[in-house]
Amino acid sequence: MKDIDKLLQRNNIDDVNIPNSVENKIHYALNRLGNKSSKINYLKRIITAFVSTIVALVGSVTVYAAFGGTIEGKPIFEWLGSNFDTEYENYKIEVQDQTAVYGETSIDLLSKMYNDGMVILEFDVKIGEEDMKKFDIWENQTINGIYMTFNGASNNWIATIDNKEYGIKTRSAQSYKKIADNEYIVYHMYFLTDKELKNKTDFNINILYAYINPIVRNDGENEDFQAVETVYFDCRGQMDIPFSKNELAENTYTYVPQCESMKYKQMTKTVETVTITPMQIIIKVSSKIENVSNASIGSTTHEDYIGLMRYDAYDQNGNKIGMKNYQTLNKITYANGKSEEWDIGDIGTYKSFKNATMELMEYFIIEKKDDCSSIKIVAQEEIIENPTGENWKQRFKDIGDLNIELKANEVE
Amino acid sequence: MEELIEKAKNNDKRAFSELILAIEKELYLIAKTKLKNDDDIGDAIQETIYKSYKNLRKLRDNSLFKTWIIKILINECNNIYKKKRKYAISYEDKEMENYIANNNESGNIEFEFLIRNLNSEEKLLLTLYYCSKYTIKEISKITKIKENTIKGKLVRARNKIRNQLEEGEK
Repeated sequence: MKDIDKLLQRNNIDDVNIPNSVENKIHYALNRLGNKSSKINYLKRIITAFVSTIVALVGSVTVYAAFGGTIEGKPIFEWLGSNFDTEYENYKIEVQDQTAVYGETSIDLLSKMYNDGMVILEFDVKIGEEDMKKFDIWENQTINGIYMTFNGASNNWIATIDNKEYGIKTRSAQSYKKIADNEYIVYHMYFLTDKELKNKTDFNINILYAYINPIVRNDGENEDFQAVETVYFDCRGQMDIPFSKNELAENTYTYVPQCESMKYKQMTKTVETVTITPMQIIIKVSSKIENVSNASIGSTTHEDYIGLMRYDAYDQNGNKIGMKNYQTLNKITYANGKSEEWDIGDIGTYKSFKNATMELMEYFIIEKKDDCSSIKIVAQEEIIENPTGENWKQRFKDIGDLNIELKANEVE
Repeated sequence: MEELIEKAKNNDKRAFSELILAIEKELYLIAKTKLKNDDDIGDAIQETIYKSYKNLRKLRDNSLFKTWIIKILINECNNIYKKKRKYAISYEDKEMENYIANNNESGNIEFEFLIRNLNSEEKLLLTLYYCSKYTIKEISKITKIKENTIKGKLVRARNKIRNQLEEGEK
C-alpha cells in the first residue's frame, strides 16, 4: 500500500507552470490597478488583430531577449532594421541638462524624437554602488542589461502624458546597450495616437518614477532573463520631457493608397492611410466585422469565429521585412445602436448579444528599406485549436493580402 | 510581506503587484481545482486582483492577507462556475494528459495527476493542505468547513487516490 501522504507531499509549487494565457491576464490586471474601466470580466483572444505583446514576466524568461536587445552591431529595434538607427542619428534631438538623480543612481536623457506617433527616448542610466548590490548578481551570473518600467506600469503599458495616465496596451518597447556592468544606454519607445495626444501639437511625457530590473544570464546558458530584484528610482519633477508633432512633420507625408480590401468571413480590412517618415512606414488599417455575437467571439466552433490573426510583411521581391502592428480601437456597436469601446483584446461575452458590429483600428509599423517600392501584408496561416469540431485546425483560407504601393512625396 | 502589504494599502501598485506575483502559482493551483478552463481561471484571478486591491484597506490583520485573498478567489471561481455550468471538453485536458504522460518528472505534475479524479472540493482541500501548506484550522477559516469535516474529507480523498493507484497497478 502506497504512502499517499508522502506522495502528495512531494509536490513543489515552484515547479508549477502557469499557462501564458493566465499569466497575461494576471499582468494585464496588475497593469490596470485602480483604473475605473479596468473591471473587465473576460479577456478574450483578440480577433483579427495581432498584438505584439511584450510581457515582462518578473523572475522568468521574458520575450525581451527576442525583442531588440541591442548588442554591438545590432539595431536599436531589430524589427525596424538598421535604416531606423541611421535616421535616428540624423533626426534625433539631442538633450542637454535633463538628468534625474536618486541616491547614487542617475538617469540622463541623451536624446528624444517624435515621429508620427512614435516617441523615442534615449537614456544613459548609471547605477550607483548600493543599487548594484540590490541587484544581487550571483557569482555564476553576468549582468547584461537592465529593463526599466515607468510610473508603476509593470509592462510599460501606461504612458503619462501631460500628467495624465493613458493605457497604451502593448504599444511600447525597450532595448538597451551595455556600457559597463553599472551603465546602460536604454532606448524606450511609445507608439501614441491622438486618442492619447488629443490632437495636441505639443505635449509632455512625464517620467515620475522607475523600477529598474537587471537582465542577467546564468553561466553556461544561452539566454538572458529579467531578474526579480529591482531598484526603485524616484524622479518626480526631474523628467518632464517636451515633444512637438512638428519636429519631423516636413519630412513626413501621408496618402490614401489605391488598395483592395482584405475580406474574410464577415470581416473587411481596409487600408486607410500610408505615412512615410524618415524612420519607418506606418500603415493605418481599419477593420469591420459584421454579424458579431457573444457566441461568435467566444466559441471557436462558431461558423463566424475568427481566430487570432498574425501577419508578415514582404517587399515587391518577396523579401520579408520587419513589422509590428498595434491595435488602438476595439469598439462594438450592438443591434440597438448602443456602442461600447473596450480595452484592446477585451470584449465582454458575459451578456448575450447578436447582430453587433465590431470596429478595430490597427497601425502597422514597417521597416523602411531604400529599395522597397511596395509592401504586401499577408495573414499567416494561423493554426487554431478547435476542440469539438470535426477539424482541429482552422486556417485562414483565401483571405487575400493587402498590397500597398509606396509613393513618393504625395501629400494627403 | 507585511511591509509590502502596508505599502499596498497606501496605493503602492508595485508593492501590490509583488504580493500577487509572489502567490500567483498558488492562486492558479487553487483556481484550477474549481475551474477546468484556463480562460476562466484567468478571469477568476483577474477579478480577485481587482477586488482585493480595491478592498485591501479593509484587511485589519496583515498576517491574514493570503487566506483573505484565497477566499476572494474561491468566491470568484464559484461565481464563474455557476454562470457556466457546462463545459465543452477542453482540449487543454487532452494537452495536460499528454503532457503528464510525457513529462512525469516534476513532483507537481504527479500531484495534479494524483488528484485529477477527485471532486472539486477534495481537490481544493488537498491543494490547500499539500501545496499551500495550510493547517486544518486555516483551511477551515478559508472554506468555512468544520475542522473535523475537513479531516474526514482529506482521509477519504487519500483513500480514493490509493484505490485508484492500486487499480492502475492491477
